[in-house]
Amino acid sequence: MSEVILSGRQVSKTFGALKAVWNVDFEVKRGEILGIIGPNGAGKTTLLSMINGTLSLTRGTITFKDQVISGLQPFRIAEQGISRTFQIVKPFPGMTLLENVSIGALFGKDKIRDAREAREKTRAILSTVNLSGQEDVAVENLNISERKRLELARALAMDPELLLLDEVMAGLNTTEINWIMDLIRKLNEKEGRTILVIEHVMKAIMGISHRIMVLHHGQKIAEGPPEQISNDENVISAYLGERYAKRRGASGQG
Amino acid sequence: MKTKAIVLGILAALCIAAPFLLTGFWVRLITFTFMFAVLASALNIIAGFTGYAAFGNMVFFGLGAYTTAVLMTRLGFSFPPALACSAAVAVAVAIILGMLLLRLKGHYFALGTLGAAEAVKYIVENMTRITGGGQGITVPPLRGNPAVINTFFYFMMFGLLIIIIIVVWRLSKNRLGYAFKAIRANEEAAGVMGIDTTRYKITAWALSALFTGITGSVYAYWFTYIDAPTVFDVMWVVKMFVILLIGGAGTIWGPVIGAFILETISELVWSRFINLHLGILGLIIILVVLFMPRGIISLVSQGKGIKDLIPIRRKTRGDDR
Repeated sequence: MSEVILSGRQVSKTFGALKAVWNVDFEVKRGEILGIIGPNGAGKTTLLSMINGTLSLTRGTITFKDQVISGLQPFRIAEQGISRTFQIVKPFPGMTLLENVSIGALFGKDKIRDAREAREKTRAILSTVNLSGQEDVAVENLNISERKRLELARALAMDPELLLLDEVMAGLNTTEINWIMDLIRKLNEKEGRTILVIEHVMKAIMGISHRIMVLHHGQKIAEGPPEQISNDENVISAYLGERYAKRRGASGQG
Repeated sequence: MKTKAIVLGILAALCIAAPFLLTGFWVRLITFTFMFAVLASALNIIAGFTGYAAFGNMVFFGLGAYTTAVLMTRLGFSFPPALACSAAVAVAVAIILGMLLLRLKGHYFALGTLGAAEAVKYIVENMTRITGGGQGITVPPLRGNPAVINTFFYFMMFGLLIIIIIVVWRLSKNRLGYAFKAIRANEEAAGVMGIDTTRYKITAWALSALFTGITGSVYAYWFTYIDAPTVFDVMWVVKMFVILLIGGAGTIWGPVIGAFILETISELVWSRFINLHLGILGLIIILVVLFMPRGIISLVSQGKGIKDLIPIRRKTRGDDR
């Protein structure tokens, strides 16, 4: 369980003078759920995009299963077994839900050659994300909750070892959030997938993550189990401001 | 499903019987229509399915025509091997141009292809020794009874049309076609899903070029005289795009229906109002784009009447695929 599946060394990305991500070292162990949190603009999505190759690294390396993957094209990284969801969902319009998801099976790690076989495999995944019965719906007609689940289904259809989830819960109600939390746990425990998750819903990310990494202004400011993170001075000051953190410290840890 | 098969069967039977029942004028007109249906279907693969507006697609038509013409006149090839060489040249050029140009997106790609097509045109025109330069080139004509020759080219174009319809129909359901459509929808997401976007874009353009080049080859043999300003004329590609717009891009039958509508209208309008011809054509294009943004095929595929077009909101995408 403790084998490191993904690691980054001095991972950095600059946009002009802006250091979106700066010198971040991280490790993800096989079978783990690692949560990434941080205020808006902390560099969470940038980090995710560098892992799956949609953004190039300014400096540093990312290694997946002892192979350097930074610098590879996104589709090569996808073939190795890393898939992701996008914060702003990106369905393929002009195709049905089933076709959208079957693309994952056709081009992901498994590379199923036959479109019909891929569609059959896809049906099972649609039931996992609770979208059964909507196979032939045009994706333009899905609501936000369904789109989020489509995004997840497409990533799952690629049968990833490492799943990168970028705010799959944003815009959902409490019931839906609880349902997705259960699903993520199931994907981790039953299917043995390693999951890296970015989320703003604190209750959710604290609930599902084994470990949490906190980014602030592109740098890692804390890392550890959820209980420890929620009491970390640096984290509190990053989220609520230094003055609040000091006052809280003065009044004896609240 | 069954009625569809019956309708297709009747249409095919009519198409096969047509050259034996109609006069030479009509046979030539329908052959021309088939040719445009093939060209538009070929453009459909790159522009309709993959979403890359290849505005220079006539370059493959011209190259196909010139390859056949040069091989037959200068090297004494017979038509079939010349046609095969035309196909090979078109595909090879598509792959080379694709590697250079398919990294551009949107308007830039369209302009890039247009520039490349012009460049190729000037190269061909200036290789006077081989291509005859501005004088053009005369292809050894097919000898025999004009009616038989007409019928021969009719079935050449008809055969090409059948083949490309089958290819596009397969694309609408297979792995390759899904890759094309995913690239059209969102190239970044397609890459993340494991699709080698560069490779598939080049494949799409090569496939498009293959059919365009073959059509050019048949055109050269049919018309027996070609020159660069004619076969590399940008009007070819404009017409292909108009057909695609009218019929419906990204669908199987859209380009075919579009070709028939455009040719019929052109013929009707052209013969009566020679001065207003382009104006009327323009008006029709504007109306189609305004009220049927996905082409006339959307009427058929959604089982809707003209009335339903008034709220332009997009509902479901064509389920004809």
